[in-house]
Amino acid sequence: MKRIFPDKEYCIGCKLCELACLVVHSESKDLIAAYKDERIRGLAPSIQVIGKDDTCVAVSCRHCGEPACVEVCNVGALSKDPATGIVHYNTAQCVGCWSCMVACPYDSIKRNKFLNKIIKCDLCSGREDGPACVQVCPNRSLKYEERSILYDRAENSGISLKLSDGRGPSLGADCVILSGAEEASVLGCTEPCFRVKFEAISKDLKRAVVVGSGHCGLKAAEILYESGVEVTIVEKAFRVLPQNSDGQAASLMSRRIKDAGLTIKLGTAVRDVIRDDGGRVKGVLLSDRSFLEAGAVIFTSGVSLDDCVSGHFTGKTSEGNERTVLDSITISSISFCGLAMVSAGILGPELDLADEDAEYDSYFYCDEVKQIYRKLVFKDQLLVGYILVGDIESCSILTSFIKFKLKIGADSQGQFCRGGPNLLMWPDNFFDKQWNPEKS
Amino acid sequence: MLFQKLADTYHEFTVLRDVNLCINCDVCVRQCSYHVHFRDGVRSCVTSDNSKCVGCLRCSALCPTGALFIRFNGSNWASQSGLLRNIYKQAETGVKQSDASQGCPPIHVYWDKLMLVTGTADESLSASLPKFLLNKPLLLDTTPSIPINPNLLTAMEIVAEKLNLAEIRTNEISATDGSCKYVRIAVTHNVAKLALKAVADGAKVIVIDGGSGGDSPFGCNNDQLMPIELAIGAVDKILRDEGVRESVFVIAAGGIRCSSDVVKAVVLGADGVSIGAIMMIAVGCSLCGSCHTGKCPWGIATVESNLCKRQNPELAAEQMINVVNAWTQEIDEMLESLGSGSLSDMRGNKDKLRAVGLSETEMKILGVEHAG
Repeated sequence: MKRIFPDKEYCIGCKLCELACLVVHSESKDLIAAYKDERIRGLAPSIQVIGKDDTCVAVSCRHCGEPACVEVCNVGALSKDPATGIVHYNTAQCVGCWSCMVACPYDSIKRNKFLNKIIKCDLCSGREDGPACVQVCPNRSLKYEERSILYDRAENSGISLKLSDGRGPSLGADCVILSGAEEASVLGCTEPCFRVKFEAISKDLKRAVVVGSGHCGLKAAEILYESGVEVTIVEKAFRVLPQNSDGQAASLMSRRIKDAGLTIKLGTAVRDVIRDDGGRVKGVLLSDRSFLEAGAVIFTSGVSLDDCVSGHFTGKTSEGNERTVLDSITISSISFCGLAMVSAGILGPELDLADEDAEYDSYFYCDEVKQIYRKLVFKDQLLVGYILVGDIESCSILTSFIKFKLKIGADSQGQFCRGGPNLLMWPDNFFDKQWNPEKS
Repeated sequence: MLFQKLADTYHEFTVLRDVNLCINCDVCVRQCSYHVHFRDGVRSCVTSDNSKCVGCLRCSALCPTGALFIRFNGSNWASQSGLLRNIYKQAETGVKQSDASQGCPPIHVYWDKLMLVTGTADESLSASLPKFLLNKPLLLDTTPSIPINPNLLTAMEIVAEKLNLAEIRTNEISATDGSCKYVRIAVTHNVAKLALKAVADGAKVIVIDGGSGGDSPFGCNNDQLMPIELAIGAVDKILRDEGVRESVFVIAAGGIRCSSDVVKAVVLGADGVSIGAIMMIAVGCSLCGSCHTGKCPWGIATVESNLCKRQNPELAAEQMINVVNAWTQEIDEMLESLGSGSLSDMRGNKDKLRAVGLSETEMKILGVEHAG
C-alpha cells in the first residue's frame, strides 16, 4: 500500500500540511471558516509538524501492518481494512479511552479534547489527488508512495498484547450490580452496553455505592453521578486506582472525584449488603461498622492484577507465559470527569513486587494547580514505565521509548521528564529507518 | 512612529495584510528570515514590521489564504527607494552604507530595443575549439558572486547531467562529455581589449560576465559595468576585426531574462549564454537584491542550514529542468520562424537583428542596422 513518508531533511516547518489536512476534513471545505470557526469547535489536523532545534518533520499515522492501536481498541472504533491497508477510525464507536494513544509508538494519534475523541489520519481516502498534505507540501518533503517497510511486520508494529489464555485484549472484568431485588452483571467499562446498563438503573435511584475504584468502578460512578445519583465509592486500598497508579497520581484523581461531588471512602471494605424484607437492597455495612444507605450496590473489585484485565487495563503477561516482561508492556488509560490518566510498563517497585530487587530511577513532575503529573521510571538507560495525569499528550512518544528500547543517558533523564519528549529525540538513523525508509 | 527615527521608520516595502483573509496561522512568521512578521502577544494576532521587509515575496507566496501583498514604495526622486533609505541612514549614523547589487536594475536594457528578422547562415567555428561545447548554447553557472545553498549546486549538477548542459565552475567549464579551462572577464569599459588580450594569450573560451555582485558602496556596482548587450557587440567586433573570432568561444553571462534574449545574444556574437540567474528564479528567487544578508528566505543565497533545507534538490532540479526544456522549445520555435536549423548557425549573423530607437553610436557598437 501507499503510505506518507516525511523527509526531515527538507521539512521547512511551514505547517501548510496541517492547514491542508484541516480544510479537507472540515465541514465547510473552506480554509478560513475551518481555521477560524471549526477549529475552536474541535476540528484538528491529523498530521503534525514537530520540531527540535532546527529540525522539523510532519508526522502522521503509519497505517501499520499489524497496528497496536487496533489491537488495544476494545470497542472496535479502529480497524485495519484488509483490502486497502488503511487503518480506519469510526468516530461514533470511540469512547475516548485513549488506549490507542498509549499503544501507538509513532505519536500519530492525537486527543480531541473538545469532543472526547481521537484524531487520526485516514490518508484522505476517497480523495482523487491523494493525501492533501502531500499535495500541498511546498518543498516535497512528504512523499506518498509504495515502499517495503518495517511496520508491515508484526514485531515492529506494536506491543504484544495477547493474554496468556490466548484471548485478545477484550475485557473480562464484569461488574456485579445489585439493584433493588435484582442482580445483574455487565462486562467491562468500554463496552457500549456498560453505559446503557448504568443509565438504565439510575432511574428512580437516589443513592448508590460503588465498591472498588479501578477503572470500572470509577466509570460506573461517573455515569451514575452524571445521571443524578448520589455516589459513594468504597475502596479497600488506601488510594483510588490501586492497580495502575501511584500515590501522587491517585491523589490528583481523588481530588478530581471529590471536586466533582462524589464521596470516597478509602481503606474501607464492605462487610455485608443489607436488604429489606422484600429482598431489595437497602444499603451496605462497612468494615468500620458504619451503615451506608443505598438503593444499588455495584461490585467492581473482583478483578486483580493477576487476572490480567481490569477496566482498560489491557495486555498483561501473567505468570507462566513465556514472554519476558519487557516484550510486553502493560498499559492502562482512563478519563474521569475530564481528567485523563494513562500508565504503561513498570510503575515502580511498589507496584511490581517481582522486580523489587532491580534498580529503578524515577523522575517526577507535578503541577497541582494545573493537575498535571508525570512519573517516568528508568532502569539503566532505558525507560521502562510511566504515569501521566492531566497532560497525556506525550504518552505515545514515551511508549515508543519503552517499546523500541531507545537509550536515554542518565544525565538527560531528568530533562526528559521535565520538558516534553519529542519523536526527534529518537536516534537520527533510527528515525529515518522508521519514518523514511528506502528514501528514493 | 512613536519614539522612532526617520531612518528606522522609512521603508521600501509595505506589507499589506488583508485582515479578512488572514487566519493568524503563523506561516508567514515561520517563513520570514528577516523577522518582518511576528505574533503580537498584546493584540493576539499576526502583524508585520515593514521596516525589515526586503520584498522577497516568500510570505505572500506561501500564505495559504492569499492574505499578503507586498507593495514597493518607489519615490519621486529616484526609482530606487533604497537611495532615500541610505541617505536617511547616513544622516543618522555617518557611516558608509553597503548593499549587494544583485537586485539593481541594469543601467539600460537593450534587448527590448532589438528585434529578430530572417536572414542567412554564418560560417562555422574553428575545429580547434572544445568540441563538447558546440551544441550547448545554454550553460549553468555554479560560481555566483554570493554564497549559494549547496543543495542548489547539487540540483544544478543533476540538471547538467540529465540535460547534458555545460556548467561554469570555478576553474573550468565541464559537462558529461568534456571540460576545458576558461577566462572570465567582467564587462568593464575595456572588456573588448581584455578579451582580445586573453585570446592573444591563448584562451579558447572566455566568459564575459555582466553579473553584478559583491559588497560595494551602495549604488556603485552598476556604475562600473556596461550593459551585457554592448559588451557582446564590442567583444564580437574587436575579435572579428583582428581576425581571431573563430578561434575563441565566447560565453555571455548575466543580464539574460528570457529565451529570446538568448537568441539575441547569440546573434550579437555570443557562442553560449549562462542562465545561472534564471535557474535561481526557477526555484523562487524574486530578485529582491538582499543576497548580501545571507538570510535568503527562499533558501537560495544562504548557507544557513535551517534556510538551506528550504530547497529540496530533487524538486529544485525538476523546476530547473522544466525551465530549460521550455526555453529550448521556445528557442526552437524562434529558430524555425527565423529559417535556421540550429542556434550555432545564428551566431554573429547580425542581419537577423534590427534596432528600434537606438542611436547611431549604439547601433555601431552592437553592429546592427536600424529597423525599417
